[in-house]
Amino acid sequence: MLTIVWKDNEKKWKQLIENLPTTYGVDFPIPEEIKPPFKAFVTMDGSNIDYAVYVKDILPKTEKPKLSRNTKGIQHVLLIEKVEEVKMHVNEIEPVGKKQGTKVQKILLINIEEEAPKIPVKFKGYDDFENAIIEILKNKKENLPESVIREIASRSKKFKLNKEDLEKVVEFTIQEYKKSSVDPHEAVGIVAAQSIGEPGTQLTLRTFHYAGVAEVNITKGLPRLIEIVDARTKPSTPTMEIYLEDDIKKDQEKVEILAKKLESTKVIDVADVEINVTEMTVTIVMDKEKMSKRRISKNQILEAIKKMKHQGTTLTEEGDSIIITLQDPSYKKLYLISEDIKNLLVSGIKGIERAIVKYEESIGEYKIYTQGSNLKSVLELEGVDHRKTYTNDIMEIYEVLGVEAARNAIIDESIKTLEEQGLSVDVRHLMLVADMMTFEGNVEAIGRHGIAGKKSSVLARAAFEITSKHLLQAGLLGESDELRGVAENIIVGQPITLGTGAVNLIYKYPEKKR
Amino acid sequence: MIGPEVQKRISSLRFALLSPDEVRKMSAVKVTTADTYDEDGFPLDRGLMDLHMGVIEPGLRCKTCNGKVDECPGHFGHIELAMPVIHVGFVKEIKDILEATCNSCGRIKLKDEELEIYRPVLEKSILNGEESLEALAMSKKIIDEAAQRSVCPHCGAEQYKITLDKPTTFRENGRKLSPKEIRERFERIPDKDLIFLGLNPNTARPEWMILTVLPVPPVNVRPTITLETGERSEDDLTHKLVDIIRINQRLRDSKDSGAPQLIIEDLWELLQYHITTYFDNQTSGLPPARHRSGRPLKTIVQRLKGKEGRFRSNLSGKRVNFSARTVISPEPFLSINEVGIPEEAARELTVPIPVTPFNIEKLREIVRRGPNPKGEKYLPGANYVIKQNEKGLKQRIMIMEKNAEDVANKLEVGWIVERQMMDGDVVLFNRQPSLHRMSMMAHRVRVMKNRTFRFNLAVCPPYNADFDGDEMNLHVLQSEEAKAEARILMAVQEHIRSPRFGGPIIGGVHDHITGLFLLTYKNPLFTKEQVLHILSYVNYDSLPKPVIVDGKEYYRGKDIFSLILPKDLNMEYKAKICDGTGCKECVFDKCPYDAYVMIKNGQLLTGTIDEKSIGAFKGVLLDRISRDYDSVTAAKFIDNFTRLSVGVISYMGFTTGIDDTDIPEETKIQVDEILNDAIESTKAYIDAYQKGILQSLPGKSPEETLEDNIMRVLSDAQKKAGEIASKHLGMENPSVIMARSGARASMLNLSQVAANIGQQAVRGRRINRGYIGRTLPHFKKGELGAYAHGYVRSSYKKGLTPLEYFFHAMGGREGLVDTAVRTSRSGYMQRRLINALEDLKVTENDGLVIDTTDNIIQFAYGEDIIDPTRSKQGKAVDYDAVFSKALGERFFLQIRGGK
Repeated sequence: MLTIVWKDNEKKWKQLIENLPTTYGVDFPIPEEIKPPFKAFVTMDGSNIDYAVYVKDILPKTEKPKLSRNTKGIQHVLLIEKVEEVKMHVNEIEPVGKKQGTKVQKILLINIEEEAPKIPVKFKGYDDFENAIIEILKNKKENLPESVIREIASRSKKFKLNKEDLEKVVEFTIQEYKKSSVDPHEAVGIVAAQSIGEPGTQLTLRTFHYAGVAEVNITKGLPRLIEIVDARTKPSTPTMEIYLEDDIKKDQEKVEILAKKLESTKVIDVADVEINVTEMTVTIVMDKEKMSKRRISKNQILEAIKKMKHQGTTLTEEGDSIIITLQDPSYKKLYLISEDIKNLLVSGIKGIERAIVKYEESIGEYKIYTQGSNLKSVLELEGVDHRKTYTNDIMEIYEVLGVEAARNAIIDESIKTLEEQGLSVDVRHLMLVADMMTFEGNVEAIGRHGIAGKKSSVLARAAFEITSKHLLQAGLLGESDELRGVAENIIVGQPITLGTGAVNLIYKYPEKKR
Repeated sequence: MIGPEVQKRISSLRFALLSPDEVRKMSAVKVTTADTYDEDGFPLDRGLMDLHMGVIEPGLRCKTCNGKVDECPGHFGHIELAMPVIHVGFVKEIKDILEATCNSCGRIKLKDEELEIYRPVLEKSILNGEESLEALAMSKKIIDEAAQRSVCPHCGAEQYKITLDKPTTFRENGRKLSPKEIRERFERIPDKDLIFLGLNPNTARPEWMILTVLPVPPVNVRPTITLETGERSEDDLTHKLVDIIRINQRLRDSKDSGAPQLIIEDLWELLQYHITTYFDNQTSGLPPARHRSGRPLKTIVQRLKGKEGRFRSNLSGKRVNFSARTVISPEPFLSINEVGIPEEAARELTVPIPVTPFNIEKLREIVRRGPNPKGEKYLPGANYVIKQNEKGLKQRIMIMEKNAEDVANKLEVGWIVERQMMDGDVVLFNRQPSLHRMSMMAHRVRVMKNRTFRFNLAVCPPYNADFDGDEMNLHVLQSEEAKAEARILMAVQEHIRSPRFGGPIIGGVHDHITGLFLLTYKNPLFTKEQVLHILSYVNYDSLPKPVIVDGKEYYRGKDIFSLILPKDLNMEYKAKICDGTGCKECVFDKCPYDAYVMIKNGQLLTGTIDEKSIGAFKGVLLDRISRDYDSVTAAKFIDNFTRLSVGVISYMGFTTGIDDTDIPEETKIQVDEILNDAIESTKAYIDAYQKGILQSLPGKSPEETLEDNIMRVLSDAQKKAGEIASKHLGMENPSVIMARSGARASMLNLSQVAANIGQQAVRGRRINRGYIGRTLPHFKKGELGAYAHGYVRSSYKKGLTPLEYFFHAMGGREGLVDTAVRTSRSGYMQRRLINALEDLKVTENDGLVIDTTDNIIQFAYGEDIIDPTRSKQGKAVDYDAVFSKALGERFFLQIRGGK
C-alpha cells in the first residue's frame, strides 16, 4: 500500500495529539493514489519514525485547519482521527522509486504492507421475540446466555405464544438455568479427563475406509484421539475437505481439473528413473500414458529438473527420455541425483498425495477430498472457497489461522472422533481440554513434553514421569513447592484444594465451662 | 479427630543441594567399617548398621535419640570419601558449567554487560521461585553462548574443548579431568555468577555436585530382613554401601602408602562406579551392579521411579485399613443406595464411636456382646475399645469373650468403641478399573448372610460390573467428616446422572426392561390376584381402578406401572420399539404398535415402557425424573421400577431358547436364494475383474474396487436375508422382545442365528492372510471367491463348516487382541489427561476455570457455566420440559401436529 512519511515539528505534534481528532493543514501535495482513509507516518528528526497517523479524510484546502504544518502554502487539509506512537527507523521502510538518502527531508513516498482488513464481528440482531424475551429478563433483573434466548425465541415463535405465556416460559427457563449451574470449586478438570478417558476403552483401534465412493483413509477411534491430545506435528492421515467457489462448484469438469492441479506428481509417478552404470548417467524414461492421465507435459518435467540445484550436470533429451550426465561422475553422486529426481515435484501441491472429487448431494455441489494436507497453499488457490475449506491437521490450522482456530479444531476433531463411534461426551469437557492445550498461546501436548512437564509443582512432575530428573533439578534451582495442586497434596498427605477441600472453615469452640 | 484441634497444613516444601558440611552436620556417625553385624548378630560400631543410625530390631534402643523401633525416625550417617567423585544425576549440568566457565578464573565466559541483562529476569524467577521453566531456558541460552568462547573475556586465558565420555569421565582436549580438578574449578566460580548457570546461590554450589562426603541413609530406609531360617539378608542399598566403603578404604590406604598413580586411578574409577550405581543402577553405558544371584540391584533412583516406585506406588496411593474385597452378586430387593455385606466381613470391619452420655448404655450393650455375638440374627459387637487416660495417651483394648463384660462396665464417656458394622453405616464401594467418579460411590450397609457383596442391578452400569466372577472393594468410613461428605456427595443417588453426557447412567438393564415391556406392551390385563403378587414387592398407596371386561374385574398393565410415577409428570415421546419404518406418517398416541408414550399427570396412557424410557444411558423418562425431582425421588423411582419389573417377570415367566429363531422352510429357501444370488454376483464381479473390464471406482485401483463390491454385495445380502427371517419373528417371540425393547441383543444377532452370519473381517477387510496367495490350502492360489476369503454362509443355528469356523475364529481373535491393546493405550491416555487437568477448578462466584497458579483457563466454564451433569444431554435448559410446564396440554397438541 502506498503512503507517505513526512517530517514535522515536535512541539506542533504534542499540541495536535492533545486535540484529537482534529484537522491539519499540510504544505505538500498528496499523490492521488493515496485515498482516504489511510495511515501515514511522521518523523521528527528525519531518521526515526515517531508516529503513525490515521487520516480519516482529505478535505479541500478551502477548509480552515485548526493546526497546520506551515502557515503558508497549505495544499491539503487532513482530518486526523488517531495518532499512535511507533518505533521504526527510516531504513526499515521501503521507499518508492529511487532511494533518496537516509533521511526524510520533507516527504517520502513509501510502500507499507497492506493491513489486514478488519473483519466486522458478525452479530445477528435480535428479532421481536428475542427482544421481548430480553425485555422480560431486564424486568426480572436476570440474564440468560444468547444461545438460550435464541432457542426459546425460535420455539416460542413456532407456538405463537402471547406475552403472558412467554413470560411463563422465560420464568421456567431461568429456574432451569439456575438449577443447572456448576458448583463452586468443582473439579472440572478431573471430570473432563474422566469423561474423555472412560469411553476410551469403548473406542475402536482401527483405521479404515469410508464406506461409499470417494474414499480417503482416515485414522479413527482411539489412535486418532491420542493423536489429537498429543498435538502431533503431522497427523498420521492428514486430509482436507476443499469447498469451491460458486463459479466452479457445480461444474464437474472444472473441479476435476482443479483436483488434478492439487495432486502432487513426482517424477517417479510419471517416469522411470534409472542409473546407467556403464555410461555413468541418470536416465529418465517418461511414461506417456501416466503423463497424460495426470496431465503432465514433457516440458513440465524438464523445467522441474532444470530447477534442481545439482552442480555440474548437463541435460540431454533423447526421444522420450532425458539423460543427465555429470562432470565427474561417481556412483554415489548418481544415486543421490536419481533419488532427488524421483521425489522431485513436477506439479501440484506439496504434501497432497491424492485428490478425489465427490458430489455432495446434501449441498448440491462438488467438493474435493484429499489425502495429505497443505492448508496454506490450498487456500491461496484460485477457485477454492477459503472460508469453508477444512483440514484435519490441527498444527497446520494453528500455523495458518492461529490458536483460536486450533482450539476450535481440537474440539471439532475430537467430537467427530467420538461421535463416529457413537459415544456422547459433553462438549464442555472437550472445550476444557482444548483450552488447556492452547491457553498459553500455542498448541501444547497433553503429556510429558507439554502441560504435564510444565507444572509448577516439583512433586507433581516427579509423580508423573521422569521422577529423578525433576527432583535433582529442583535442588539446583532451589525450587519450592507451594502445595497448591492435587498430586502434591496427596503426596504429603493433606486434603486437596478442590471441592470441599477448597473451603477453609474453622469453628472456634466456646471456652470450656467446667 | 474429635475436639477443637485445628489441623495444620504444610505450606510449602523447599528443595536444595546438600553441602558436604551439611552432610557432616546431620550425620549421627561416621561410617568406616564395611560390615554390618558381628558374629553374635549385634550391629558393629561404625558399621553400616550402627545403632546411631536408628534401630530395626525390637528390644534395642537408638543411640542417638534413645527411641525404640517405632519411635526412632532414623538418623543419617556419612562416609568421608578418599577422593571426590561425580554425582551421576548432575553429569549434564557439570558438563554445561565446565563449558560455560573459564578454566582459570572461574567466571562465565561472557562479558559482564552481556550477562547482567539477564539478571533481573533470572533473579525474579530463581530467587522468588516464579516460573522456573523460563529460567531454565534462559540459562541454557547463556551456557550455549558462553561455551562458544575460546578465550575468557575476563582473564584472557585460552579455553579448551570439553568432552564427556559417558557416563562420568570428562576430558579437556583429550586429557582426562579428574573430579578433583573439576571440583577445584567449580570452587572458583563466584556466587554472583551462579544464577546465570541455572543454580540458586542460596541452595546450591556447583562443587557440591561433586561428592566428597556421602550421606548414609538411616537403617530403617534399608532394613535387614531375617528369614525364617534365621538367615539375614541385607537390603540392596546396604550391599552397595558396603562396596563403597570397602573401595573407599582401599583407595585411602593406597593413597596414604604412596601407591603408583595407576593403581590409585583404577581404584578411584571403581569408587566412581560404585557410587554411580548406588544412585542409579540403570545408567546408560554402565553394566548394572548385580546381586550375588545375578539380579540387578534396586538402588536409589530405581526405588523412586516408575509405577512401582515410591512416588506412584507409596506416595500417590496408599494401602488402607478398614477395607474388604469379595465376589459380587445381584440382589434386586436392595435399594440402589444399599450394599449387602457378608456377616464375616461386617464382624471384621469396625466404625469408631465416641462414647457420650447419650449413647453410653447402648455402647455398653454392644461391647458386652463381644467380638462374636451368638444368635441367628446379626447383632453388632465390638472389637476394640480405645481408652484415653488423663495424660491423653490412647490405649487400645482388644475385646474378647472373656473381658467383654468387664470392659463394658468400665466404659467411660470420652472413650472410643470400635463397633462392628451394622445396617445403615456408610461405606465406599468400588470396582476397578476406576475410570470415572461413579466407580466409587457411597452405599448404606445391609449386613446379610452368605459371602458376597450384593447390590441392585441398576447400579451395574456405573461400575461396569457384571456377575461372572467380578470382585469389588469396600471401604468403611471412619471420621464424621468423611461420612458426611460421602452421604451428601458420594451417595449412589447423587450419581444417577453422569457428568459425561448429561443423562442417567444408573437405570434399568436386561430383565428390568423386559419386565416393564411385558407389563405395558399393548396394555395386558391382570386379575387382582396377579396384581397383588406382582405388586407385593413394591411400595404403593392403593390399587388402581380396575376395568370390567366380560363382567370380571381386571387391572391394566399401564395403570400398574403408573403407580410408581410421580403424580405431576407430563411427557410424550417415541419408544424404542418405534423404528420409524413401516409408517407413512406418525399417528402419535394412536400408534398401532403402541410405540408412542404419553404420560399425563403421572398416568401412562399409551405406549410401551422399554429401554428408551428406563434404560441406563438412554432412558428419557428416567432422565426427566432424575433432573426435575430430587435425588431421593429419583432413587425411589429406580428402586420401585426394578422391583416392579422383577415382580412382573418372575410372575409371568420369561424364557428364550434356540427355537425362538426357528423360521419356516419356505423362508429358508428364500434366504438361500438371496445368498445364492449374492454369491453369483460376486462371481460376476470377479469375472469382470479378471477380464479387466471392471469399472474402477474413482480414486481406487481395480483390486480395491473388486473388494469393495464383494463386501457390499455380501453385506447387502446378509441384511436382506436378515430382514426376511425377521419377518417371521414377531413381537410375541421372546428373543425379539429382548432385541426390540433394548434389553439385550439386537435384530442383527438374531438374523445371524436364524439366517446368515456373513463376511468375517480382519483389519476391516476380507480375510487375506495365511499361506502364499491363499488363506488355506483348501483353495487355489489367487482365488478371489467369497468362500476363499472368510465368507460364512451358514447361520449359527445351522452350524458352521470347518472352514467357516476357522475364519470366524480369526475375526473373533482380532476382537480379543484389539481389546487387550486398547485397554493399555486408553489407560495411559487417561492418566495423561488426568495429570494435565487435575488441578483445574471453578472459581467461587464467577464461574472462571483456574489452575494452581491462578492462570485463567476459561472465562466461563464450558462457555455457559453449566454443569454437564445437570444439563439435559449437554443442553443448559430442557426446552421441552419448560414449554410443557408453561403451556400444559397445548404444548403436546402442537407437537402432535398443532390440532
